Amino acid sequence: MAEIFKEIETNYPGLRSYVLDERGSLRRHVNIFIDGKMINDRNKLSDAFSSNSEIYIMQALSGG
Amino acid sequence: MKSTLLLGTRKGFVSYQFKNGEWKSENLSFEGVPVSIAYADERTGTWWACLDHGHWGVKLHRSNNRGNTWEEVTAPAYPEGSEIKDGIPATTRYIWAMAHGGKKFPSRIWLGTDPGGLFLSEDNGNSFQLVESLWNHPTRKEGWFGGGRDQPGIHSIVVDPRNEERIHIGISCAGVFETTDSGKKWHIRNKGMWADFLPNPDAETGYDPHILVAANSNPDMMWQQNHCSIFKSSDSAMNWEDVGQKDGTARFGFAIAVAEDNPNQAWVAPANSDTTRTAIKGALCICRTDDGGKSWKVQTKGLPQENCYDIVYRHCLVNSGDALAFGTTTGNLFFSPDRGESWQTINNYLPMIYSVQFVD
Repeated sequence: MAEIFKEIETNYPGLRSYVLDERGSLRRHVNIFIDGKMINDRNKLSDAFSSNSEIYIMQALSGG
Repeated sequence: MKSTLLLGTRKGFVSYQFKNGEWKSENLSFEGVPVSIAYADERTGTWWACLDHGHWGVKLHRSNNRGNTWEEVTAPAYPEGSEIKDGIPATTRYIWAMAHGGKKFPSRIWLGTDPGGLFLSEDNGNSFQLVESLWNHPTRKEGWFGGGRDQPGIHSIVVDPRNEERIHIGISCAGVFETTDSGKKWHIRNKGMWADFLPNPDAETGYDPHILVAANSNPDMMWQQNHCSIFKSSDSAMNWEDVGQKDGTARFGFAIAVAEDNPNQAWVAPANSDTTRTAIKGALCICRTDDGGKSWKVQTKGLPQENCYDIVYRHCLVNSGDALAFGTTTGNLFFSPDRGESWQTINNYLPMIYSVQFVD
C-alpha cells in the first residue's frame, strides 16, 4: 500500500503527508479499510490487497 | 502600541485590529483547526499559521495579505532514522515556537517542535532542516523529557538582535541552551536554576522553563517563568536568579512579558500551584515588577475576581508600548492600555487561546 501512496502523491502532491507521517506510518486518527476490513499494519502498511480491492481511507470520529 | 493582535486558538487563527479606540475582529482562518502558534514575521509582514490538525498532522501555512489567502508550505519533518529515544522514531508532533532570524539573515526562520527538534529555514520558510547539532546533543536522549507535552519540546527561541548568530532556546524539560554560531555548537545555560521535581537538584538538564524571553531594550536581561519559580538573568543566561515569591502570588505560571522600554519591568500571569493549574482562589490577576523582580504588584482592576478558572498559556501574555494583552484557556481575551493598571475585555467567548502576538 505504501506504493499506492507514492502513486497518489504523484497525482496529488502533498496528500500523502495528510494521511501518513514522515516515517510513512498511518496518522493516529486515520483508518484504512481494505475490502471492508481494517488494516493491521499501521506502520509499514504491509496488509495485502488485490487488484480489485477497495481501499477506503477515513478519518477517525474523534475531537470536540 | 502595535495595532493588530494575532491569536492562535484551539479552533482557528484569529486577528483583531485596533480602530477608533476599539478592538475589532479582522480575520478568522482555518476555522475548527487548532493553531498552536499564530506568528507574524515583522521583517516582511508575512503571517504564519502553525496548525495541529487532530487527524492530518502538523501543517504550516503563510499569508502575505493579512490572512485573506494562505499558501501551504512543507511542514518540518524529521529526517529518516531520527529517534526520540532508541527504537522510538521521531516525527513532528507539534510546532511550539517560531522566530525570524533577524535583519542580518533576511531569509532565516527558526521553528521549535515537540519532540525536541529545532528546525531552520534559510529560504523564508520554503523548506526547513533539522538542526542536527542540537538533536545530537549528548544530553538529549537521557537528560530531556516531556513537560507540558508528552515529549520534550522547544517553546522559546530568542534571537539576539545585536548578534543574530546568538540564539537562546527554552526546552521543557531540559532548560536553556545557547548557541553563538547559528546553531553549530550548543551550551547549557541552567546555572542558578532549581527544580524540586528532579531527583538530583544539581542536574545538568531537566529544568522546565515554561517560557524564556529577553528584554528588547537590553537583551542581556533575560527572564523566564519557570515551573518552579520566576528567574531573571542579567548576563544573557550565564547565571539565573530566583525572583519569584516563595509564598506569594508571583511564583507559578506559564507566561511572562518584559516591557519593551524597561528591562526591569515584567509581568507574569500567576496560577494556582503546579497541581491544580487554575486561577488562584478563583480570581484572575497579573503581577508586575518594576524593580527587576525584587517586588511584585498584583493587578486585578477589570479582571474577574470570582468563579474564575482561567490560566494563561506560555505564549499568551504580550506587551507593546504601554499596552498589554493576554488570552486564556477558557477563551477570554483581555487588554490593558496602561501597563496592567486596568483591564478591558476584548472577548469572553473565544476558543482556548494558545498564542497571542502584537503586530503592526
